[in-house]
Amino acid sequence: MNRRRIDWLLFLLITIWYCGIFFNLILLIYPPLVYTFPLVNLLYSLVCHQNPEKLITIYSGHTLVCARCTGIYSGVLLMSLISLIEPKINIESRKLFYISVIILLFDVLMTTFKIYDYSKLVAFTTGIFFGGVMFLYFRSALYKLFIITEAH
Amino acid sequence: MKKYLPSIVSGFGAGVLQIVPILKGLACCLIVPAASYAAVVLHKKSSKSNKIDYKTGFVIGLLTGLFAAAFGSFFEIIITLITKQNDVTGSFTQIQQMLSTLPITPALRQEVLDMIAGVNNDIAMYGFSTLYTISIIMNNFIVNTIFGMVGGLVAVKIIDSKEKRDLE
Repeated sequence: MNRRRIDWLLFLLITIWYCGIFFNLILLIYPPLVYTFPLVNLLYSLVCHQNPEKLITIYSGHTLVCARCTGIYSGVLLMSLISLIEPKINIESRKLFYISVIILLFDVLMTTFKIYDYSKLVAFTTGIFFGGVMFLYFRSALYKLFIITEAH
Repeated sequence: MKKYLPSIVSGFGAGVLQIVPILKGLACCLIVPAASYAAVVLHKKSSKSNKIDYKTGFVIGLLTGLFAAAFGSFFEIIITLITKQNDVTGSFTQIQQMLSTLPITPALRQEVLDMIAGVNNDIAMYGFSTLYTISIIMNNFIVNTIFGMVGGLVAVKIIDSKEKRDLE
């Protein structure tokens, strides 16, 4: 499988996962999908605490994951889209990974221990940064995995 | 058996952490990838070779995800059976509120609410609901294996970068 196909496959899978976050908007297009709501809600509850105060309000409804998780998946989707346009984008250094984790954990701990108030915007932004960096690491590792598999 | 031990240990840890509400709230989707990372590190330490390849990382991540799903589902079902309550019963009011905001007809909304109420009643009365059990097992296996594979690959990438830097 060549790199271009991997990028397209990743983009497709991430887009499907990302669309599920905005389930209330999907229902505008096809309301009978509401029968799957308990299952979809349970699916996203496995990856997010879904605290009602931390969900993003969109069109009278809410996202199925919190602002931080929405940010993480937005970062992943954004970076997968960028890598389709600019395939050479890559990171080898671990510095960015550690920086993104530290920023994210710092915000989580500060808001958990009430050092400062939780902000959806800050949570979303830290999530985007972390998601984007994680995607680049994952994509690079996936490339190497396919190269090894094909070599054998 | 020895080569599966890091995945079993980390998967068990992730399975336990997934059902602890406070930790679940803190770590969100990072529990299983972190468990995969731990499994890769444990595997590296227990094996004689210093180098770990991407294929091994992928397999360890996948296995960690599978074990996390198996242990997580088992604990969830057992705890539900004993306590006769879980996330679904606890968040029934929240789900009702969420449903009330969805752009659907009242009749459709009522049907879905009845369905969830049925699951709720089964859990409250018997501590078991077939629909809930199937959903939790299916969802756990889908999500945990995907996140496990991602964690395994990212772990190898990080270890690889560290080794390259050390060589330089």
